[in-house]
Amino acid sequence: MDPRPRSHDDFIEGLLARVGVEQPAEVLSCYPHQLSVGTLQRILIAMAIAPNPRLLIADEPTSAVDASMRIQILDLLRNLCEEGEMGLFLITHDLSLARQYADRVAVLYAGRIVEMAQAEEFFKEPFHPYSWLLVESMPSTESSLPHMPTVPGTIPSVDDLPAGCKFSPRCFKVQDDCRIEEPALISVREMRSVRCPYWK
Amino acid sequence: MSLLEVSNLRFSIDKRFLLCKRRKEILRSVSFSLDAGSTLGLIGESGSGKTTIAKCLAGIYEPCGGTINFRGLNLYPETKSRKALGPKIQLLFQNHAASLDPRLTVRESLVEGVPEKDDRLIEEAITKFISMVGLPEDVLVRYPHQLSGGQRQRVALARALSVSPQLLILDEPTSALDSLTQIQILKMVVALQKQTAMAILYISHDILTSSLVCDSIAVLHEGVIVEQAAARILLQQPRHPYTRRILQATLVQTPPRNNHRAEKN
Repeated sequence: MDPRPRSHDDFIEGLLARVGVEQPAEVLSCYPHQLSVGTLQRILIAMAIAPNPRLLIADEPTSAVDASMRIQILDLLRNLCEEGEMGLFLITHDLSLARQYADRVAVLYAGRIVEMAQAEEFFKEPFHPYSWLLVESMPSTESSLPHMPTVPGTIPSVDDLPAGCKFSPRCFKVQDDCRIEEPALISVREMRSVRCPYWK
Repeated sequence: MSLLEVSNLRFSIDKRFLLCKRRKEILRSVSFSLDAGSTLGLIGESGSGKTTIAKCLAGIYEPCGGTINFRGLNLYPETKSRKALGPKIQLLFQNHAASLDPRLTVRESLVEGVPEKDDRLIEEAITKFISMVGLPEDVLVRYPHQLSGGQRQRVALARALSVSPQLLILDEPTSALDSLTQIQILKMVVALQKQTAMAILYISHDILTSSLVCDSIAVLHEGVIVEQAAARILLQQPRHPYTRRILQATLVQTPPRNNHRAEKN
């Protein structure tokens, strides 16, 4: 991180400039409702990196901003991680972010990790049925809505979890034993584990 | 005549800095039209004025200039005519957690919009709307905090549909949802549109998702529409440098599909 500037305001303005806030001096005198969602998100990131943390937990850091700003913000987070040897724990529903910025990926469903893998391998071939559906639902320039996967139901609420595998009521590979006993997270390759005995 | 005609819409706010007061133009001159049963996408970066357009159309903000005509009725500058219009324009916000009253159950939230007075008819209407959005009836007794993000967004959609709108404005309806839930909601919206022939204004920063549901897409940049074209054409042959830039930024994150998935299909 840069050496701490002389005054507190300079330090804050410097932080805001680093996260890409335009006219930081002007922004400092604004209230949240006067700023755009994108600017607010950048300010939150500035607040998080201010004490120079070793681990940054970023919970959906860019869910409300557009694609070009998303790249800028995550590039910034990645640079900060590299410079300050900070670890980044990126929580996101946006698979394209995980594909581009994560070294490793863990997919969570109903409170269970259903798959863990190196990001590159994961996106090349997701093993768990839920992971496969998630990757398949990512829109691309060639996608058309009628051809995208349809899955019945929604994620179960925590007070009403199904018996056995939590994804079994919606799974296209479901077998009888899936509904009885919850499968364990099994290691299938080096740095790769999946919570489904029928992953192949 | 189009269902909705917006011409030269302008909107600005006063920004204060120390003792100075400056006028900041959010929308400079926005014009577009929308036919019944069709979907127009409105895309642009954060702060480009997308939500401001939605709020002007829904009557939450009063524009500074231009005209808004809906079914031949002038909604701006003749702001009084909005009352005569009734709830024909509905707006669904991105923030599904904040769009439902946390103190009301799903049933109570839905009852507010249902025009029927008879208990049995109310019950029938509620059951109809909750099944339209693909939710089981047992969610009716739940509170918003007991639902998942996707379920909350479906309830908000059922609420918007309960007054039979002719124009539904979806402001980033799926940006907080995972890709699988997003596709389920979009499929449902498209199916509902076929049933009801309502027009949809789909606001998003995501050009790829917009192209899945929209007939045409308008690109908003600094309060002006810089390009409008059919969704497929915009993806394949973007003309404006700004459109090319946002498309490029999106494609960096979403490389072309892998072959293994085609094999699995």
